Amino acid sequence: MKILAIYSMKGGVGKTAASVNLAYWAAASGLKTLLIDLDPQGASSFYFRVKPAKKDWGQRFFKAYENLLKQIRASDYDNLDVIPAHLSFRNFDVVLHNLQKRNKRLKKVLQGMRKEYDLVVLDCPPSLGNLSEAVFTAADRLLVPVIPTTLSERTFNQLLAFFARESYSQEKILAFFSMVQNQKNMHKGIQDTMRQAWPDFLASGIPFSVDVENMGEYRAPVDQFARSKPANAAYQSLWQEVQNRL
Amino acid sequence: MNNVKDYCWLISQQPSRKRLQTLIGPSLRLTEEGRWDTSIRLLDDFDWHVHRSGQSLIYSIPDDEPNQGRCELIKSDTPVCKQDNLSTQPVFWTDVHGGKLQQSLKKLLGYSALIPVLQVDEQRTLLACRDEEQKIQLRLELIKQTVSSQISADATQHDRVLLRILPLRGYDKEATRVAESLRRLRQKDAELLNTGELLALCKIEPEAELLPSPLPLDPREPTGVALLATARLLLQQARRYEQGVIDDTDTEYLHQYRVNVRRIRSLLSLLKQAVPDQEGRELRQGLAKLVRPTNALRDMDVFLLQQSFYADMLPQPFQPGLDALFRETEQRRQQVQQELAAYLSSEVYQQECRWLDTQLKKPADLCAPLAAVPLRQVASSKILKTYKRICKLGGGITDTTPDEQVHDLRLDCKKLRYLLDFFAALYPQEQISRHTKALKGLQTILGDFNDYAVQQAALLEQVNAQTEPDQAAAIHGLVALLYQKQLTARSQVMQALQTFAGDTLRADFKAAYSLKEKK
Repeated sequence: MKILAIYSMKGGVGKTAASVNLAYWAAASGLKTLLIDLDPQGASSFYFRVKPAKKDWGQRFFKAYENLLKQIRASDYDNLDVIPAHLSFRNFDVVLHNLQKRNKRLKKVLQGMRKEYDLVVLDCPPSLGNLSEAVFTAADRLLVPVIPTTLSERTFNQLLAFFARESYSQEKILAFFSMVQNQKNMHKGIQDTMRQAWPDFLASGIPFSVDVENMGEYRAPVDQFARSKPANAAYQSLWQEVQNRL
Repeated sequence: MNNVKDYCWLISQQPSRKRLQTLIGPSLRLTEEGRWDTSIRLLDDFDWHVHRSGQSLIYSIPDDEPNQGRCELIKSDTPVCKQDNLSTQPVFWTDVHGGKLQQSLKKLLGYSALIPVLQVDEQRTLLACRDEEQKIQLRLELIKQTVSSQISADATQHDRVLLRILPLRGYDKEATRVAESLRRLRQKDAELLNTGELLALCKIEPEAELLPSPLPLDPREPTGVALLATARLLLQQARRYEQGVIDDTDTEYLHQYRVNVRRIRSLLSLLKQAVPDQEGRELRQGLAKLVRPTNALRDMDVFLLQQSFYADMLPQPFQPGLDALFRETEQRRQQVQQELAAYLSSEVYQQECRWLDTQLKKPADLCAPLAAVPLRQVASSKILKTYKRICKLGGGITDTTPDEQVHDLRLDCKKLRYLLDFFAALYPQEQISRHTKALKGLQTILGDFNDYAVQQAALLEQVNAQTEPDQAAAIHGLVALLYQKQLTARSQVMQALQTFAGDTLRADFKAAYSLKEKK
């Protein structure tokens, strides 16, 4: 079983869209896939139409994997299950703060999924705290969406610096360009600069597209309503690249 | 991914979407997810080996992709193993290339051919039950099956409709609720493709076609009466294989035909004193006459079935000669098979069978010495006597004893095996299994020893002045190798005998078949 975390400390960069579409393509490729929506906003749960649990169970999340098993919901697609987000997940940083060995907690609890799943996809909230560090420890790969803008470039460099300072393995990091508008000179220029500085940028990028925005309206992965559109091909190609690097 | 159990029900008729929607209620909306037709054949061999293993072998062809056949072994609707992308329906296990399915079929079928037993034409409709946010909470599948027999003259088509309720993980409550609301449609729980259920629908009873195992026997019955009744059953079973021999479906038909006739002959020899001398002799002669015309074809079959075994033994330079030998044998076999098919279809053969049938149906003549003795008494005495003879004969065998004595020992072991098989119903099953298992070990070694000798003789018979030099070289090469194998088997005989004639088993046999009844 592999753990793929979709992470960025910056919001609105396309993490959830990537999580939903990559989990969808992973499942379609035959991998038994579990998407865990760690973001209390619950956007990826919303895209899969999976409602959160009524009871507040966030306190129990890191205690035993059995707690997670109870929350698993099948999506409408073969091989793809979801653990929906709960508003109580907003307290994860505090919950972890009060636990011993907090960085290893998530990794340990996810080991319980090994028997059932080939891949766990973590849709992470935009922050840099205890939960993020638990994710950095648990994930086999950290997939980081980067919008080719100055601010996003800065955020990405901050992440690399944090990894270096805290001795996390930078080899885990895979980055891809998200919401790309190649008609903009700045987007083109920043992509070139960043690829030179960080050679591990994936070749596939996700274009800025109304089809991605429409996921909210259709509440489904892009393939379900815009099969022949460039954004769909981009996610499919991104998944193939990620799969080869897992 | 889904730990919730599916429901699969037989229902009386296909409900309309509207009816299903009404039963489910307004909280879930039904939408159609897909609809497809599949043509399915249930395969088995003539002796129902797949069915007897509790499994079903399915060959399915999607209607839109006729070259994408799938062969699947299933147990209680759960796939055990499968192979996809088959362009033709498999006949022998070798037609499924590699993998677990091939291994399973090899074990189940041996040399037997698969025949289509049932045809099932399926129309499936998959429906989703969606909540107010259009999330699928569970799925329903309606399956209409049209089943027809492929082996009986009755071509009646039987329709049945199944409803499957497919819960999704995390939505168990909704699935349970829907199952409850649809329960009024249910006739009974069912499996999608259970060979037993589908055969019963077409009124096919495999158990009635096959010889009961063990043979049904009453320990107190007079031996003469039991002997004739068993012989009748065995003859009936042998004749079941005639058509397959005539059609040349596979080599097992002839083999089983001969095995069953041989079992009657052995029974008549082993219980010689249970029928009057003259009658017994005539019956044995009649059976010998029946089976004699089959000898040539069986010899050729045995030789041809050894093809890969022989090919693996010889180095490359001998292969062309060996290939030519097999080609020639195959050509001759065609002729011999046609002759046998003509014989089995002839009036002469039918007359022989009628005569045997009449003889076996006559009331038993209880004047013969053992005819009136209760069966169990005779059985125990024969088993113990044969076992003791094996021990005595085996005790005199060393590495230098002439081969003839080893052959005699083999024949006695074979007799004991027949006795244990015939009379199995008279003793505890565990006891018969234990003794048969002990005997099998010895028989395997003796059988190998004999097979290698027989194979050498059969090969040498094919050499004459006209034999091509490369064929003669291949034959002589094989004979030399088989002789070495025979020597190896011979060297294992003494070791195997020590176990079989040892004190533990000796005491076991004595206790089990002693004529003094246990209290």
